[in-house]
Amino acid sequence: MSATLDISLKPRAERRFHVSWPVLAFLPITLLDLVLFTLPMLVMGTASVLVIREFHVSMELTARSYLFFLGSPLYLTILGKTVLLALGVTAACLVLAYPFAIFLTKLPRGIQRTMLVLVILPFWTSYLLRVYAWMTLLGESGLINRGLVGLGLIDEPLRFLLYNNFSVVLVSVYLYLPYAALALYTTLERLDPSLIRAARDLGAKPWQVFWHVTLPLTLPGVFASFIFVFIPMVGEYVTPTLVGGSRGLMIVNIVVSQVQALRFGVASAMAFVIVALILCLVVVLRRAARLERVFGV
Amino acid sequence: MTISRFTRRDFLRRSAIAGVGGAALTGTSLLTRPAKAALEGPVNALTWGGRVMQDQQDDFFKESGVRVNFIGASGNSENLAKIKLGGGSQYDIVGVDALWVPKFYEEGVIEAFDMEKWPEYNDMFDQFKNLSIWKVGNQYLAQPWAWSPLVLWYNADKIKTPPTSIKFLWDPELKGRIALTRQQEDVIAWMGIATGAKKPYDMTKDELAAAKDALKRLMPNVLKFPPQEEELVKLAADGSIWVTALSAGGALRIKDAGGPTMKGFLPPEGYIGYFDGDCIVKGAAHKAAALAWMQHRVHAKYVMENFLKYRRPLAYKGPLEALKSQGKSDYAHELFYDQPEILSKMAIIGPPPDIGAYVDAFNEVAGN
Repeated sequence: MSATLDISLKPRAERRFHVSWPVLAFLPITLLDLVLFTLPMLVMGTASVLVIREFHVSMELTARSYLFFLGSPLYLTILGKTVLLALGVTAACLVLAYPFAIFLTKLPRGIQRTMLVLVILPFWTSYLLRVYAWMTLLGESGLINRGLVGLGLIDEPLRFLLYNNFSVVLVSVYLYLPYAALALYTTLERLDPSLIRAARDLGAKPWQVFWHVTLPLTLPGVFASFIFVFIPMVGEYVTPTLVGGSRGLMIVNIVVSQVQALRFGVASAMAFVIVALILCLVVVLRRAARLERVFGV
Repeated sequence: MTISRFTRRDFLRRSAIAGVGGAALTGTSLLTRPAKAALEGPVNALTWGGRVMQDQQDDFFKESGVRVNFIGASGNSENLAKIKLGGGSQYDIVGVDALWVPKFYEEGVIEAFDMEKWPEYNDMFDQFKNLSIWKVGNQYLAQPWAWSPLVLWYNADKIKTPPTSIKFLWDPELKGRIALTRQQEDVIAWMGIATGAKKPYDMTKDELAAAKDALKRLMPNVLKFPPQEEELVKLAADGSIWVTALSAGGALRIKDAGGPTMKGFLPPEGYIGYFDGDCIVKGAAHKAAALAWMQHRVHAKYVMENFLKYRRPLAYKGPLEALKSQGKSDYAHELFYDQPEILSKMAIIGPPPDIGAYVDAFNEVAGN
């Protein structure tokens, strides 16, 4: 009796296992996404279109929060400045990372691996520590100033090194450079060298090879780097707060200030506009550069 | 190698021994358990740093069997939001700044309690006993804790002539040498004081415009607006800034961080300051234990310990005599502990009726 039952149950159990395994595998990440991303986004989205007076929510739909933000020249200017700063950091990362990634691909395999470990080495320490380390370097009584004064090159410490947009860009470039370098390296490493040889054989100069062959073929890597650097830069809060100056307000500082002003609707609307801006950018870039090629998907 | 055989009988015998031992241990622990075990805990306190000290917590546990869970508070508006969401099931106590207390009460998240019968009530400075904004009938909305004016501390090595007016902040010699915490309404309130506003936290439109203009003019002198006081201490200690606004023990904190000698200045035009307290969350699950904890922590011994550690005056005068007997009268005076009359002179930090207008004014200057 029991043997008959076993036989009849076995195939069903196996079938169930095959069907449910992918679902089970995706369950934790799906739950995580639902709880930590989708749900807060829904709450924020709802808050941005409801009438909220301090802590009192009325179920009345309104576009007031969006109109307040989009109708404020000041806050739009700060958003614009934030985007410009993020673009500047992204451009600097690309300019520095591209030659480095090319250099990396030219190295023997073993050294390449060592170099890659060195690239990701900063990630072994806390983000905050790395920012504080820069503050120690750039500060008025920091290593650079002490060194320059000690060498007799300057009489007074240089004060432009810290607490301004220069230091925000410098520290951000340092923080995000590895992301750009890794994305570019991945694309460059997959580039067929025979294409470059062919271009050279056909008489192309090095800059022509780069401009007409290497760059177009590595554009997905460039765009991936752009996304890895630009998106977190738009939402940067810690670095500008720590190394920025009195006028270093970025859009996230403004979102925080709206929360402190108990304007939860406006803060939500601002956050949503930023998200929308970034999403549009990702969609455009994804279409333009076929980002999936970077990872060979 | 010998492998001993572990029989069912052995298992039962050893289990019995373990059971007796366990019971004995339980009995022992019961014997050492605190006397007032009737209170139900733990007490969940969402409050400011510098409130709950470990030895106090340990003593309270010995006495009552109740643990106090300290949850660091980040700001009044955030606290209010958290209490609104979590309520009495998650929090028993919430730390609130002066003028926010009535707001918390209006929002229905805290409840009044009777404090007059508490043993340490008479130890409280009269200024707190008679605080009408914290009272509902004879009951209190908050148990007062710390207070301090925000002092303008200046680097005595760099600023040789002691300032006589708040206007010294605009001295071109101080270019990039001032830092204030990024509390928009406090920065604007300071500007209001400088421009003669009657109520720095409730300015008229014209007063607010004048304050904004003053901030605009001050900006060249401001190095930055860090979010935390600790960063102000660090900036003053490494010489990056020469002037900042910190509470009573500011100079000592800067000195401790390896900084220069700072001197304090309370401008004759006025100054801002704070006092804070702890409130009972409405419907607190462990209200009795929370009230017991609040009574426990204001014993003169703990208040004194707290004052010496955090170096700002508290709402209880008990330790003053002890400080005098220890020859620390000057220290107490330097930290304003024996000058509670200052409370009535300072513009109390709180949410302006239109806090958004203050934030916008700050952002308009700092964002441009």
